Amino acid sequence: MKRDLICTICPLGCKVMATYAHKKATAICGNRCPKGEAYALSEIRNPRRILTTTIKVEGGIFPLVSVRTNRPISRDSMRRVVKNLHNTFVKAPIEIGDRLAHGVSGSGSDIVATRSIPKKKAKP
Amino acid sequence: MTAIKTEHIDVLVIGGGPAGMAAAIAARLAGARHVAIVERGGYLGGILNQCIHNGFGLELLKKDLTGPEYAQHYIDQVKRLKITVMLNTMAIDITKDREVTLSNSKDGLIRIKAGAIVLAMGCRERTAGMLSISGTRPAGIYTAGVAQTLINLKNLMVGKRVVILGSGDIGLIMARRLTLEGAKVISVVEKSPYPGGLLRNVTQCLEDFDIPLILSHTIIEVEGRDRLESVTLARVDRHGNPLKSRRKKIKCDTLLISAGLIPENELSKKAGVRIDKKTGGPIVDEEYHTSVPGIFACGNVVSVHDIVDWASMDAEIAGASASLYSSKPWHRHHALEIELDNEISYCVPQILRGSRDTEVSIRVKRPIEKVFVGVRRDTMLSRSAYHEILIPSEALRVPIKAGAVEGAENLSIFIEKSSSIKREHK
Ligand code: SF4
Repeated sequence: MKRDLICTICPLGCKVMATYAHKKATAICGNRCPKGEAYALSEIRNPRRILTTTIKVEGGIFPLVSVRTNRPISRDSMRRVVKNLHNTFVKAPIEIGDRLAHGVSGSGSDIVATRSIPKKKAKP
Repeated sequence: MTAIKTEHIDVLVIGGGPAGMAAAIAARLAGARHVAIVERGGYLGGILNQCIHNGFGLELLKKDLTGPEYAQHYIDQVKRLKITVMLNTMAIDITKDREVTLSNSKDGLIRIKAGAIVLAMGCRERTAGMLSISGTRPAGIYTAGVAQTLINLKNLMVGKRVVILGSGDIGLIMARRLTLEGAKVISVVEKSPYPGGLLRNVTQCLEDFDIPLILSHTIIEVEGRDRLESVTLARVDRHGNPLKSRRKKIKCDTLLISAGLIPENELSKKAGVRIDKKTGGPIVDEEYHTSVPGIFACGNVVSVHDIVDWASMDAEIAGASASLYSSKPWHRHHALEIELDNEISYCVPQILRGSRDTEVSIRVKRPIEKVFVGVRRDTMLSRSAYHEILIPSEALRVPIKAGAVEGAENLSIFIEKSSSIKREHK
């Protein structure tokens, strides 16, 4: 099989052509540097992405906190991870960088807050 | 961070988004003592707070950050440098003598005389009303940015079966976001023959989730009584006109419109700043100085940037220049308007004075392959570089040295097919 990929490692965005069979590459061309080859290999074998989404917050000034995985996770697991997080609530205050969930996606990656959410002040 | 009622401020920055914060920080670092940011929303960072995806900061900070994290990087510096921040405050008027009227519910009206002003109000979305779609106006039609606010900040889901019109970056990002949240994105429809957003977003937002991108098509009609029920898709000809044949109805409950962004310049016009018809923003020189002395502009208010890093970098120059101006106003006579090749739709800065080395952003009108982009000073070629491909969705930054401007009568940026030019660069 053949696939045209855009290398997303750096802004040059090389068009990398990969020929492969059974998730194994037989030929890779078009990349301007070796990183492009490594990128194409992982794209064929098991593409990984940083997942970004939101989690519901209790008692914060906003109802949601934006989050990310602390490392790339398997692309195929992204939807499942988001679905599982739908039932998660975290309590304010939240600091940017706080770990809000551990070991999602079975690969030992954590969910980290990307924004601080202060507590909502009680009305006097 | 409390509001103040000062008479005089060295540098007043209007807008607390990425450009505004970078400008204020740079102004402070360049020596301005009293720097203030006016922000009409309730927090700094602006649009970055709803851009929860990553990919910010790769160019400038060499880190892969999400929007809120990128914002925090700047918010921390704003705090550390003791820059005054006026939240929930509107700038309602600016005069060419740099008198600014602000308004908020706590202080009422505030009048400020600024040594220099930096305009950083950002941009707004083109709305559905600006497109020619016929039919009813049922619920379920949103601009991509509004949908992003609802989903990422307010915890409100917009729909289950979604069609997205326009393949600008926000549309692409929202296609992925909606899919991850469990909605079915049926397709992204783009009128032009090539995608509007960055290639990496086409890959990571559409291809990753098998969302079809339908090029050279548009939506000509929407149907539904209370809620959207379907949209009609039509192929367009080379001039963008919908064809009579080749129409197709798609059942969906939501239509997102990602039709591009327009610089927000109501305020700039009040100050009498000259606007470039092509960018929709102020005409600036390499110090991001507008046509009104002491008023600078940066970020998406000048022209819509592809990535935030470039907006921040331009803003740093604007902020530092504003700081210098506030302590020692200048008047420069020499000014060259850059002339552009027919293939280029616009450039920023539009004017060069030779006051510093600079990078001029250009955007091509259509994709072109295997070209040299060069700078010609009078009749001399001063610099040219080869490019495999140039596309409208990715601006190119062309470096120009101050020396190339000095004493020149004419400066132009040209594009030439690699076959028609010998490799004479440098
Ligand atoms: S192949 Fe190398 S040069 Fe090309 S985009 Fe990837 S990292 Fe950049």
